[in-house]
Amino acid sequence: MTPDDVLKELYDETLVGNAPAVLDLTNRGLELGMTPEEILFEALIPSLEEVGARFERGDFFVPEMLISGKAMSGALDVLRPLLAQTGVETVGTYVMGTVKGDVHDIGKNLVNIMLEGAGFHVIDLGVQCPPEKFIAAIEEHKPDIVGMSAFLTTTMPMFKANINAIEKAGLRDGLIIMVGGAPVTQEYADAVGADGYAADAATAVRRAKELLAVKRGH
Amino acid sequence: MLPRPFGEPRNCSPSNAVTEVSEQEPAVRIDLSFEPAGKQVRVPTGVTVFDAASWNGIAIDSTCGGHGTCRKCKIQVLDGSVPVGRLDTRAFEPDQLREGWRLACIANATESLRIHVPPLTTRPKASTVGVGRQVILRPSVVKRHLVMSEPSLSDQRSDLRRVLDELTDVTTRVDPAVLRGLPRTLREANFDVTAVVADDRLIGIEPGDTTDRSFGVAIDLGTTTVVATLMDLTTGTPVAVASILNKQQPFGADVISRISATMLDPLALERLRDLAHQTMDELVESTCTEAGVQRCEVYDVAIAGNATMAQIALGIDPEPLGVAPFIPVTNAFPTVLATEVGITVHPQARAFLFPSLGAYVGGDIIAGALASGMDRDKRLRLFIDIGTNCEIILADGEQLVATAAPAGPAFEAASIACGMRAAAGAIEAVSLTENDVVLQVIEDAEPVGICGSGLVDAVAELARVGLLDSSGRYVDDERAAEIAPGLACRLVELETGRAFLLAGAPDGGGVFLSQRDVRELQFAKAAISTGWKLLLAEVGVVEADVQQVLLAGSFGTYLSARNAIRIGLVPKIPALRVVSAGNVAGEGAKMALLSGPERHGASALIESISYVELSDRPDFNDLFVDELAFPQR
Repeated sequence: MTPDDVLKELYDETLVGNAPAVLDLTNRGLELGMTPEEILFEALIPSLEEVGARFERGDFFVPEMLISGKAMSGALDVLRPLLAQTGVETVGTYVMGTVKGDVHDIGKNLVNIMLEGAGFHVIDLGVQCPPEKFIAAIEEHKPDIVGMSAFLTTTMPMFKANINAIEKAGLRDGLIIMVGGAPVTQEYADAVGADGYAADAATAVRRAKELLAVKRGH
Repeated sequence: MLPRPFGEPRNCSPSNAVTEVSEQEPAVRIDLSFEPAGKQVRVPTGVTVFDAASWNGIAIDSTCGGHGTCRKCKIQVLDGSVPVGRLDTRAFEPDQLREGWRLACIANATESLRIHVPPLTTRPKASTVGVGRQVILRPSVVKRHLVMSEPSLSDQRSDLRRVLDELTDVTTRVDPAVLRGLPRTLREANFDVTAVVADDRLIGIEPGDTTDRSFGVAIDLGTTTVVATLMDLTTGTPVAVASILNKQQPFGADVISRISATMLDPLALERLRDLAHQTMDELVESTCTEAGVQRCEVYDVAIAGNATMAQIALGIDPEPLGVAPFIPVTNAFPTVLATEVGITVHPQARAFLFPSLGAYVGGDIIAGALASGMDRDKRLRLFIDIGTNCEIILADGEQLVATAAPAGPAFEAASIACGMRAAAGAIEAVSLTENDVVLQVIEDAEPVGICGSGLVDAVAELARVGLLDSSGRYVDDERAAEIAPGLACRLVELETGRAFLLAGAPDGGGVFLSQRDVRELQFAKAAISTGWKLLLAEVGVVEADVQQVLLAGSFGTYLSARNAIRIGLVPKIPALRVVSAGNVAGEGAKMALLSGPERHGASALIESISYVELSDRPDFNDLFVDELAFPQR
């Protein structure tokens, strides 16, 4: 098996979400002397971008994204420590968490994988994150973007509470705040004073890049 | 061993204490055989013969509710011995006592016995409710006809004392409201009255003999639909049933939207509470009218509703139920006056609300578990109530574990392109032949949409013929033409994507199943199968060990067992073992009306079920993703 075979098969197997094969191919590629960057940027990321593109075309649905994402995340677990060693450049730093009172994380985790696939350094705060947890993470990691997820209409009000707390802590300036989750809408995001919203994981990544470009362009 | 209610706690009966001992020493069991029914049961020592019989569906006559006073529950001990009780000496002649005659309700069985049960002399006292459960009539409400001597200068007992002296066995408390009308009622009726006793409380005195008129209402307080059954408590039979949509509907379809309504508007809770009350009261009115029953002849109400519905009906802030960690105000609700939940029946009638195990395994599920005898079966059984929130209970006779899985609205067809409720024109069953689609449409109307059971059928059939691959994706045209040439033309590209045409034409009025619909169903079924798989793992058993699957709720009634198995919604076991249980919440509510011991059983159930929180499990998401695919054939 040549490195090119590995890249091609990695691309295909990630697309169909064959997690064992993706993990196996990743390890095989490393054994062949390929760099983690090569595997990430020439196979996994393009494959996940194709997943996102198919989703946006209506050809793929959330289950397929989850299955591909799960396959990708197995490979990332292997590559992440290696990438950290080589100090690969990241697109930006993204702090992500599900709000207090909410335990849903399937959608949030999918966005995380897609973001990571797009080259973001993602810090996942997990579920049920109170405002203090977001604030502590902002102070510690100095992220470009903070993402908040809520899956229930009963927990969506926490967006506003979090944003208020971030403002009160004097951390709002220069920080991009994105919100998302099944019941969230653009109108709701605007109403709570978020900078960005996306209806799905693929759009979330695109929106994050756009917002970051605008921020850096000025 | 599970704590199991063998009878309601009684003040004077020793059965309580003995039952406790037997729970510590579960090995001490005895055999009771009943003639002429020829039934044999194995019970812990100390149980009364009456409870053991009633629990096993053997009817023994009784009207006093097992207090040893009506003297109707006469049985004869043929083999073995039961000591003569104080009340036995009043009920039998010494000869009869020597022949083994005893009152079943006070006869504690401490050794194996053979018992003769005389045929019922009065009307049948057992009622089949729930999933083949026989419940012996022992309603909490008991009526007693009293013919008393009138007061005189030599008998100056108070009116109340005169009544209570006739009721020494059943009451200890008196509703103050009873006193208000007591002097007049007694005198106008010439001291010939009927006492109405609910549990240990005198709640009413009526002129004359009204013992044959006693009713209760069982209410299934659903988020979507509310069903009320008017029960004749003297015969155990339903006399009228009615159902309407929950009037809270405008506030949203599911409990979360109702809860968030109360968070956004401080007045919404009161409004929702009133709407719940109006819904229930309207149903009580229509059932009473239909059956020709006066509302004041309804003395008892049992309500099975999820935790949110119960809290809102009581006017309790539901917000903590809607946010993690999802905490109910209480597990067991105190019994309230029916008027406090807006139900206009006898003014002193009580309403019993089923206890909740947690925010998402509520009173409706506890009622369902009671009705399906989840704690009373040695078999490994899985109880699945399919809805927006899916509740699952696994029991094996030793332990009961429960969980809730967020299935979403797919099974109610809300998120399905051509989805509709199970109403006229809905495709409710689908099968595919080589060249055709065979549909079953509700009321044989022109198909206008598809409901949940039709959705499961369609997906299972499409997967069976191979038009859907195991990942749930429609195959391409080439492959379709190869494997199902007679059906391939129905795979069409609509504006919204690929779809399978079930009926009509694609360009207008057609009923189709889109790729997105299939995905929605996959999501819902994965949530549910992840739930039961984790419960199986919790108990340490595997899918094939499951001996029965009970599908609760109206959806379960119409679901094809074979297709539910095929898509992996339920364990892969012989289809005959997948049973529709129907409206078990309503059945549980009926049981609570007909039998005080069963009502206590509901409370015992929440003590014996342990709740497994899915979102706490680190493996949930991974397993969920694995469960999205359809099982390979």
